[in-house]
Amino acid sequence: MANVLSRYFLNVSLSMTEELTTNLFAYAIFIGASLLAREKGHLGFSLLTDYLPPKLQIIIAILIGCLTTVFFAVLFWFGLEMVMQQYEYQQKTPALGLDEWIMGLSVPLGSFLCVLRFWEGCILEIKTIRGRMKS
Amino acid sequence: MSATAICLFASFFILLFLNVPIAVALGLSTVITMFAFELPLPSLPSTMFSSMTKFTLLAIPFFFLAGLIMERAGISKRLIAFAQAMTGHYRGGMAIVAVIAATFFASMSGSGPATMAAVGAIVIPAMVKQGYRKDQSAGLLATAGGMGIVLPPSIAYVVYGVVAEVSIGKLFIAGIVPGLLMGLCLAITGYVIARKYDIPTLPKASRQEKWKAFKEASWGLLAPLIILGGIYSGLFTPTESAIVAVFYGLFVGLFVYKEFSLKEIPSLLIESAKNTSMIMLIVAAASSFAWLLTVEGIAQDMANMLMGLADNKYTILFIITIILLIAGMFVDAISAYYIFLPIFLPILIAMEIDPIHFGVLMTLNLAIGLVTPPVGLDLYVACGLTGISLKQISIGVIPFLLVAIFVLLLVTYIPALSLWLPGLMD
Repeated sequence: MANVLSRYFLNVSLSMTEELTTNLFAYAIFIGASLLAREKGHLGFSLLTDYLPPKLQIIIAILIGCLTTVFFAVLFWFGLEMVMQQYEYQQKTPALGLDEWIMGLSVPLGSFLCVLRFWEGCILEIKTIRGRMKS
Repeated sequence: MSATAICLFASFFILLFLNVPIAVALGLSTVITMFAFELPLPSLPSTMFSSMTKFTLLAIPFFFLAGLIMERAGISKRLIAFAQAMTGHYRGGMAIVAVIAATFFASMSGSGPATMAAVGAIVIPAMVKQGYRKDQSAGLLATAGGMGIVLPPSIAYVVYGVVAEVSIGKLFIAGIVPGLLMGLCLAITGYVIARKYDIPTLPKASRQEKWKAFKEASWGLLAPLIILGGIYSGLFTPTESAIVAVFYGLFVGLFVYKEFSLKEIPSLLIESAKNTSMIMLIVAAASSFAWLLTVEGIAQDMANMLMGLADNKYTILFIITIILLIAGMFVDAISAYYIFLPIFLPILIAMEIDPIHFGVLMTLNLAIGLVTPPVGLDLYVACGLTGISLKQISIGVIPFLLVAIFVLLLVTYIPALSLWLPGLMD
């Protein structure tokens, strides 16, 4: 993780290759987003759900998990389709001539990571709500 | 309104109120609408991918990093000490100190909550000790932190510039006068409050003390000059200015104040990567939302509807302001740019409103959104810093909120406030 980042930071500071950095940026975004998902760090509107009884909160947490999964599953599926197409036509990036599909792979790979981490965050949250119910 | 528009907005708000993360709510409502109306879903990942891989947006992690480094380097601490030596003995001195420090910090870092956290952690306890009400101190700092996105450099202008396709450098320069005006008005409010509650002043600092505080803080005072001077003179682009800010902060922290160690860098990198990912995931999902708004003609329909309500630009601007103030209560600034700009841009062209002027007023509007409950990022940071509840701070912030809205109206109806400085550039 830190390795990927430092590599892309170094690249930018030397202002070497715009193409490589922006594509690595996409990877970094998905990795960061999945990290945040576990910590419940993504912005949300919790005012209404905070007032619900704990049991309903658990149901909503699971519902959010499912909805999030649907979104990333769509992204994963069509992202994979995009990558396959790029591979099939052997598309290359315009400046460096790198394989486009390696760059595009960040979308399905990132979506997959995000689904895992969002569920991890969801389970952690259910545990804290349960803990609050007991005490 | 067409059925697609209703489906898109209704599903977005239902998801939002269910506490689905904003990024997912934006993306999923787009997916649902495209699925329901049999639009080509396979184009979704490439739309999102190309919105993420824009070179200009690479400025965002650097602005976050710059803010984090400046804070750890000990710059904010010395700025506060300097402001205190200069104005502490005036009535309302501590409130003025808070505003000055926030102004300087805002012109080094790119985000509102970062400004709030860096300055508030030191200033709020000091203000409370002086006799200010805790909720009002927190409210003042939250509003002053909101200036962080109005004063350049600012992540908000980077995103506006990308969406509206205008010069980010010009937006930065245009934000200077409105940002300073906001600071001035907040300082005056602080003074009025200090008079009302008869808050004691600090002892006057001697000339030697002032000079010492100035020397200590001079590295911090120099930072905005370097960053803004560089952009103003065209020496570097906004993205490069973010990198310059990072290295300047590193240099000061490592070699001048020596409060910063290289060991801290990895954790700061990860911190800024997380903040960046949060924003960029919103950018990616929101741009697919915006794309749907545009290709389905929803944006144009809504623009026509708005223009049907009034025929001159002053009324239209007023309506837009109201819409944005309400929207700012529920969504964050970045999402708001993507959701509303496709609708507003045709209006700007039809009504001959300068997009730079509009960028500043929209950003100011969304800065106010940072301190309006229920979704105000700055309020949450302030609650975290002080331990008071959202309800308490919502009351404490009211006087500053009113002042901020007053400044917003000034900036909206006097375009020269934002357009004068960039006009000197060409």
